[in-house]
Amino acid sequence: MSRVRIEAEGLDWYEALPAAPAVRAGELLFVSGQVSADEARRPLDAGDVRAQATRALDRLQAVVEAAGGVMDDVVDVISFHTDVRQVRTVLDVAAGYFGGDPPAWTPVGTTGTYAEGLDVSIRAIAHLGDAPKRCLSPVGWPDGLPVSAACRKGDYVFVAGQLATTPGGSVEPRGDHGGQARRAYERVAETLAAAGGGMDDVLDICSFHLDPRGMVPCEGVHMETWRDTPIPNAPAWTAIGMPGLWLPGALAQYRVIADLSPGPRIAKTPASIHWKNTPNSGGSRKEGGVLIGIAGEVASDAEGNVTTPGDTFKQARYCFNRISEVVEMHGGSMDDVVEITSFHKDHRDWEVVMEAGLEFFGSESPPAWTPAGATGLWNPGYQHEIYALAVV
Amino acid sequence: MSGDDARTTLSLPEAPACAPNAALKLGDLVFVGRSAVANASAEGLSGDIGEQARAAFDALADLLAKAGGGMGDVIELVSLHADARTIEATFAAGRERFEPDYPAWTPVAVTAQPVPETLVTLAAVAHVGDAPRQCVVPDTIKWWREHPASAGCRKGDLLFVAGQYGSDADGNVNTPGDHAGQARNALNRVAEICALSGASLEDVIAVTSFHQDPRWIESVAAVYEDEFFGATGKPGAPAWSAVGVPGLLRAGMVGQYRAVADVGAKSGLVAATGVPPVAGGEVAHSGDPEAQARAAFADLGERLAEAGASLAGVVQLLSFHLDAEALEAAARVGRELLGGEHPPVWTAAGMTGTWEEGQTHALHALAIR
Repeated sequence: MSRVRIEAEGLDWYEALPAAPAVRAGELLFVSGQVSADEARRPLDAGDVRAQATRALDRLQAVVEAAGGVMDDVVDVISFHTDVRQVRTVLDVAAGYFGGDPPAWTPVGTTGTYAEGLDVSIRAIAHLGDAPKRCLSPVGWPDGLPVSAACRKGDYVFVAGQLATTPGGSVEPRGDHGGQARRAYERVAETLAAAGGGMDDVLDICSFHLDPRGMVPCEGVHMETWRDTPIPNAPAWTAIGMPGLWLPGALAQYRVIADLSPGPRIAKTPASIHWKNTPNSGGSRKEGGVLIGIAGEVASDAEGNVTTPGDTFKQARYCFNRISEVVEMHGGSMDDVVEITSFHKDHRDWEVVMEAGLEFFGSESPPAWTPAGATGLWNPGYQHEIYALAVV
Repeated sequence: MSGDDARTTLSLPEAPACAPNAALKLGDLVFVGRSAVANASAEGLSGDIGEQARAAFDALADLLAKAGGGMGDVIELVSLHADARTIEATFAAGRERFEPDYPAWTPVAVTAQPVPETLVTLAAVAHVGDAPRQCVVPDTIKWWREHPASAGCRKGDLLFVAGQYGSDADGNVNTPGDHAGQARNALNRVAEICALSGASLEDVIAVTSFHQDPRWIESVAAVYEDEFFGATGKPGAPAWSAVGVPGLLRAGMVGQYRAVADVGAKSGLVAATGVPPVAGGEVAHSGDPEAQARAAFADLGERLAEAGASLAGVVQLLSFHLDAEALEAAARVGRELLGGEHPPVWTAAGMTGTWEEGQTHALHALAIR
């Protein structure tokens, strides 16, 4: 399904990039990470996170309204914070923008975004259809904040980054990455069940980890969770190291997109992707659905060797070629990619990566795009991990 | 130099959180940084990097004046940045305040500062005595001459080697993506700078290395130990802290190596590190940042004792913590353990990891016997 570019005032700086302020595809609207910047992308209100959050949310609202929606249509948010101690302030500001059914919201730390001085970047998905929106917050989920643990609208369920929370709200087991991943997956499964779906509806999982080395035990938990899932029906998984999670003691956070459309989950994994023999796809969608969750693509050959070590541009191009293969295997093309979230070992690399992205998307009708600095990707030699969503 | 009686503590209670607010004078040496015991707030903190950097240099100059010295006495500067993109602006502010010969200056990006709004923090060492000052930038890294930074700065018996990278003379990154290769290149520069300063690797008492990914530390350790410094922990080997950070001066640089040399072992200073211990593959007190902080300080105390010093003798502490929660836990524990009349100057920041997954603190100290 081809994407429709959405513009809003003050966001002219997107014009030179292979990125749109927002993209609409059918009923879904994908909004790029909004930041407190002027029309030339210069940071505004440096040092004042409250003012920055207000400006970013104003931009989000302007974009949603330009697409014909309202803030209550927002179902999924990931906010990237240069210091997670500022999450609470951003959520306090956000409380003024959302009604009683707030979006599934995943706050996570980042090492940096477009420019120094930007404290927060807020990317979102809105569902502009008429279906009722249903939000869920299970026992143990933080109260009194404009964040739901999950949001269902139509066939889609967006599950906010689940932590290893207990019914009492604490995060346990402390210090145990795998144990926390297992518990976070339990929270995901419970939340999906409460939303009327199940693990078979999961398209993709995006997990954030406080130490990249903690991803190793989490891989075991992934394999254990999906061991009965045939490889042709696996979900996609993106695992990223980030410098902070939003609750103290949390080591891992799992955000999930599920599609309750009929039919089995269809996984497509090109032979060029080294994890092709595991229950982790290149990209997955439901047989009766249109949304594809694409695993964070990396500069790795079919055997898992890092391609072009240290070459920022070529690694990015390699990632885009993998995304292209995955979308093609699902019967689409790069024109169907609606959102990119690109994670970079060095957040300064985003400009080079977008330059590579121009070869694939042009600047006329590109996807929504949010760059974020990460502390570690799956292999220490990867410079980028590029996570995408497509609608076919 | 010896003992507590030689210490003078100076403070700037009104300094903003980005600025050094304490100095500890010990003979001719002045250590400048944050006070170990004072809390800090975002009050009075500008959101502009230029303003924060200038405020930090103003406070540094004030403290040095109180100590009977000036900016020309600074031999080492470590600047910790919320974003690597603020390094150049801090260099610009530094160029207004320093004259050649510049201090050995190690800039590095970190994941957290004690006060979230802080864009830059400075830790400095000055030598206010009459000894000649000798600063070098070897031709092999002549691109450093664009910056108000020397690669090595020696005064008296102390030589500080600014964090070296794997780069060529023009500043291009050598061996892109190869952490071990860049480590070898950088450590060769450390050796070269020592030699140009009348010192050798034998004189190095402390190494602080910064890595773009903590998973690379192991591959670097082989180069560091086998080709340069021998096994860490053996008598005579430098105290080495290796910490993961989110960014170095230029994109593509994956490691940075700072060294402190005590030429002829005459300064009376000792260096030591402290981390939560690992036993049988398990990190002590995993998941409990406060208990880990106690364990890390205990480890530091033991290593200092091996070198004939103690926690009470610490004059400068650089510490790195896995996240904001760990940083705050370490601050609580440290205030309790390092109080007293002349607490060390202490600069704490967030890192992405140290030796082992699960270790949430890395302490790096200079102490007096």
